[in-house]
Amino acid sequence: MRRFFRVLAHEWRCLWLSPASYVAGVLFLLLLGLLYWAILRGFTLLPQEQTPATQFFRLFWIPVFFVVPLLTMRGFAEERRTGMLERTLTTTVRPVQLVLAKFGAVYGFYLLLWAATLLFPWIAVQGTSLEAGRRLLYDLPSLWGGLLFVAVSGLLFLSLGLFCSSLSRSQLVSAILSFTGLFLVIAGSRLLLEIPRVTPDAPGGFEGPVRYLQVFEHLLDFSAGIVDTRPFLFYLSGTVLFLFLTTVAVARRL
Amino acid sequence: MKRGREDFRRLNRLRLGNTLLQVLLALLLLGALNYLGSRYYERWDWTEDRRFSLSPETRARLAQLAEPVEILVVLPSGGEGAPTERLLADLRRLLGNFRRVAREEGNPNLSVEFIDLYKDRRRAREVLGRHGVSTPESILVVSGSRLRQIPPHTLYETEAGRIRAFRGEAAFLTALLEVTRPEDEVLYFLSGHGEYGLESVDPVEGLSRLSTFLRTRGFAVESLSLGGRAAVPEDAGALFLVGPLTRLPPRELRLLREYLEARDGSLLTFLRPEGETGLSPLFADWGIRVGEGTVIDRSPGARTVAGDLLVRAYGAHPATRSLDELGLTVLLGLSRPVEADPQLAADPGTLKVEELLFSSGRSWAERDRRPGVPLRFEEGVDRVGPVPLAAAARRQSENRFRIDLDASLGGRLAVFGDAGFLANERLEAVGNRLLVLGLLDWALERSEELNVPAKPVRSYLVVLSDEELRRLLPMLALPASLLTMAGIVVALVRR
Repeated sequence: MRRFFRVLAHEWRCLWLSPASYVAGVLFLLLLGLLYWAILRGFTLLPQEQTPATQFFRLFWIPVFFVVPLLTMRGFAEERRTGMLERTLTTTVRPVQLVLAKFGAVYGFYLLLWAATLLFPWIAVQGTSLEAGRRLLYDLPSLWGGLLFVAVSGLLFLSLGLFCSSLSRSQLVSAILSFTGLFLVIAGSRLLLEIPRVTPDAPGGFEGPVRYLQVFEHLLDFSAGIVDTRPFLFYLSGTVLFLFLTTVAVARRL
Repeated sequence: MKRGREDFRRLNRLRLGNTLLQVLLALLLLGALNYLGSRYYERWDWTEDRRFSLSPETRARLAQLAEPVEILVVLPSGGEGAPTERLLADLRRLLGNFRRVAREEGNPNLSVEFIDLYKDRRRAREVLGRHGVSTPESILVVSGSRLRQIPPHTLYETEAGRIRAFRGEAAFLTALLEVTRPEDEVLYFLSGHGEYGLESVDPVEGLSRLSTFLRTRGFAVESLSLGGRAAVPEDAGALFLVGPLTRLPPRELRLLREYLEARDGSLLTFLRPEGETGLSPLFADWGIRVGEGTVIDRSPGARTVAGDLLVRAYGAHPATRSLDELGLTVLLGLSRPVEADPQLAADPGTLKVEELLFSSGRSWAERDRRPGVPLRFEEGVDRVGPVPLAAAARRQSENRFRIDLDASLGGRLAVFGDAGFLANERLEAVGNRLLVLGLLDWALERSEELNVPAKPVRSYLVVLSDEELRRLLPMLALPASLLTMAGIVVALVRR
């Protein structure tokens, strides 16, 4: 266990020393700051039925598409290219420990980035005359629900990115694979709904399982203040699967 | 050397096979776990007002559902921005809750199916055809041969064109109760006191159109004379008393009281503009007063060429809700004022009395209506408008809002100052027909007056000046600026 924490600390340090992390972080916060502003502007023009936090987290997919590949592409691809991976694996560190340490480091960074977005409502209240709108901007069920969603879904997205990174020696190829994978998970499940049901005579057809995969619907529930065990199971089991596949891919380098 | 290479290849293949097997087993395990997880799950509503949870009454009713009920939602999906997007999202959430609660309560009798009208045309055609429904966009609640259709527009409460609340829970619960009701109830039209004839085709005092209208909508309709009867029949869903000319004998009045009070029955009374029926004490016990005089309305557009009174003002009552929302007009003949006065009742605390229809602000109740005398409002003598034209009372037993489903729900009494609006000559008016259906829904407890409140739809507005908005934009870049500075410091230190 001590070995795992040592590797985790190393990966965490590497992440903070890497320029790619800062580029990803700054782009992420700039973009989300702009989106938050646009959302507030929308609230000044017309009454809206969802809180600013709900609308904000509904746009989670925009930063996810670039931040996850940027954070994870380096993971194993760079080490494979430089031969560091093989060297690390000849030490006492086990593949599963290495995978979990890398995953833990990027996940921590990802959570920190999202946690920084909590500053937006605070800045909006402090910097304007929105004192009266404090309750709306700090609407706890939608704020915590949205954060819980990005925290839980982030597990799956980052594990998928890390798996893609373990498949190639090129960071660029890893990033493209990761982007494609994320697109399939986030948007692909929605496209499945467009297909007419295979067995129209059976009540429900295959709509039930497809709806189970709907990432956007999970978000709507979370940000509305509804917590359901199904998305948890979906994201956690997906994470376990991709971390397992990553471990298998890394172990085959031995 | 060659053998060593062979062994190495075999070992490699073995390792690959072993890896593939592990991956396959992991996939199977996680697939099975997800399958089970999608069937057995928990859901918590963290909102302050439990906006997304079902009311205790709905939960109790779903647990007791004794017959199989199918809910079929046939609507086009159309994706984001489509007109039905919001409705579908609300229905999925609500009916998902219905399904989950029924399953939690171990009741397998409820099934829900969403059918996309465009993508799944074959299934939609088959379902609509099987139930003989001609409206393509339909929400059906079916149990055996009984069908209840829920018009999509009735699922929302609107105010000035904006959605204020979603009342889907009450609408579906009402439909579920209706299709699982043990047996059909009969609507009895009382006779023997000069009432309008149920099968009469007379345009002024005949109800043949009403009886056909009700029968084609699945109601059993019969005429009933209380003379010689010991009680109102057991299968009475509601009693209609339309235009009695003479006083009701005390014995019959007692039977009506028993029916209303001991059996929680429903009595719908429609009076002639003049004449004494002896019903006033009964009405008073239910907090309803039939006023003196006849309602005269002189405002422009308040009368038809034939002299009928056009009513466009409604009380907030389930029976008149759809009339109000659709902006429809009810056609009345000469009418007496009928007002709510709960203090007349001995036990006003258990009564809920509401006025249903009103004449316009330029109307009055004329007390002195004699042939040859011009109609004129007399201050201090005549009642000034708007004048209430109908009232409805509902007795609530004390445990009404405790979720004891076997508890009495209380009787219902509606009094209209005019019987003519049910007559053949006026029943063609859409507003009149809708009012009859609304009244029946209420009288037969089909209305949404269950203990299930509508879920309010909130809207939020932020008030910020242009200058404040402009100032806010660079401020929101603060977190990104801090991270940039941290990156520069790290780069400098590393160098």
